[in-house]
Amino acid sequence: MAKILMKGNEAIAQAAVSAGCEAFFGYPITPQNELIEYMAKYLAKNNGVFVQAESELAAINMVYGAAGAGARVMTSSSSPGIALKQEGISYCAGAELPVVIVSVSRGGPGLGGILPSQADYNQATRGGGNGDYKVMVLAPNGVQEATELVRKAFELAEKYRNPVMVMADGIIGQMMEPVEINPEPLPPVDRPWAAEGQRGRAQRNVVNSMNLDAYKLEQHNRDLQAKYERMEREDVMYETVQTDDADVLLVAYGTPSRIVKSAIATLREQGIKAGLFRPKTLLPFPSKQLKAAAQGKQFVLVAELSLGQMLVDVKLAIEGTVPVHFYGRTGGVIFEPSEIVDAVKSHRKGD
Amino acid sequence: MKPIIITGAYGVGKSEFATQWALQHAPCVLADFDIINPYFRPREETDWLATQGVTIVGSMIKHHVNQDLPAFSGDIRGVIAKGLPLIIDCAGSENGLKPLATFMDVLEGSEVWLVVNANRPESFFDQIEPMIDLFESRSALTITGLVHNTHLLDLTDPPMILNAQATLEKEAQRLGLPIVMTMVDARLDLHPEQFANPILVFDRLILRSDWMKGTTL
Repeated sequence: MAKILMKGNEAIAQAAVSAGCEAFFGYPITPQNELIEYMAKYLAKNNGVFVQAESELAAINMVYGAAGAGARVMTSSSSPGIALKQEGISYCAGAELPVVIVSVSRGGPGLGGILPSQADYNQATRGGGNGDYKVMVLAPNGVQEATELVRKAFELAEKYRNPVMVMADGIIGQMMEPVEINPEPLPPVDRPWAAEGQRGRAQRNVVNSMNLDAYKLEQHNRDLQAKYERMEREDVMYETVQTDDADVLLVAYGTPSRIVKSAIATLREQGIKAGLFRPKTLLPFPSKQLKAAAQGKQFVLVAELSLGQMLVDVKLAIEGTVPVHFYGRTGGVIFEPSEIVDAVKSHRKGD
Repeated sequence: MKPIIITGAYGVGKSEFATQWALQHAPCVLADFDIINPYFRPREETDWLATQGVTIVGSMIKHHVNQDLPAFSGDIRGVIAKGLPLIIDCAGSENGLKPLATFMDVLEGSEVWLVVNANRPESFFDQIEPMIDLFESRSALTITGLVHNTHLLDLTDPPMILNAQATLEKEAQRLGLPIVMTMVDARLDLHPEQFANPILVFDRLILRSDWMKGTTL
């Protein structure tokens, strides 16, 4: 397939359709509306089901129902909409349902604004639902990678029977880039747990997140934790750029990591050796790998389109072995490469 | 000079073309009438464009360029009455044209240019005829010309443009429409004599930040 020009939201939707997404339930919100519009247009043409629900709450519960019935299913929204979906996401995690959630985040808190932001890192990685649950979170840095990570999200959701979120900032949703989307549908997976009729089984399948037996519920939680630990062992993803000879390590994810790459090029032209560590999975966070990459550096600078959320995970990972500084803009303001250059210089010894 | 209305499918480069055209025809007015999508609109560059002689008329109130208002500024009537050069950048799809009905009394007889990009799925050249039928039936406007804007951002090369140009010339002839202009990046080795129609050469993209280029160092 030749490269074509697509907007992030469209490309994410097409990647889901190509991967074999069978059902989509959503509710409009800027800046991810093209994703829903695209699904409305093209999912039915691929024998899928599209429903524009009456609300975000309805959408996530339709996702729960369709996943429970064994469908490969996805929803998408943006910050305040993802906030509304948190209860349902906790239920999906509790019932161990493979679902994919795309979050195209914008400025907050509250209704906030419609411009890009990364102020929903905590929302994605900590979640607002109840219980000891975790959602895998993948963070692409552009349109091509967004299509690859959407596909990966379905694979991981099915591998772990767990919700997986693809967290794109509003820039990825709205920007145009050349893309080549894998046209091969993912192979179907066995879902012997799905509530799709008794089919000769001795007992019918029940998809449920409630368990009134304390010991059984404790064991369920231990099983979930074991699953989350396995994610960390097997599916951490990250990228390093020019870290080996670097004196300064920058940490950024999503589109801002590209601004940081521009800044690194400028810094190196000026004789300052900087490198980038980019987490591609925000959960599980690549803590061990980051700690190793940071050793011996003068300092670490975390750059986010928020006032410091991933920063906490970076500090936890580095465990005080290297000083950690921060630069962030928020509310829809996107930092320029020159701001990152200045921030690095301001922390350099002797500069 | 007749007002020029710019239309086309989503993401074919309408706003970038309208902005580049305005810069090359300053002093003029660029009406940013995209009330569908609040990202990557010419109004984001209002202040800088003003220094270049391009006045933005849009749906914003004062300088709040990110308002998501489904409204058009009535200032457009004054611009037309004074006869200032005017280019109107509409939102993508047939829906982007619908609200112009409000101003049809003063816009009748305008040039209406359809921007096409052979690398955008909804703008593949076999889609041009049905797109024109749809746009004209929904807006009561008549498409008067095509703007050729085939590109793949940094991956654009001269053969890509020239091959698409040859295909588009045949399609334009079949449809009885002129290609009014072809967009050409100044970094490409392409020259006016290679085209039967005028070309619009630009040095840099106005509505796209430099850091959005390739993802590798």
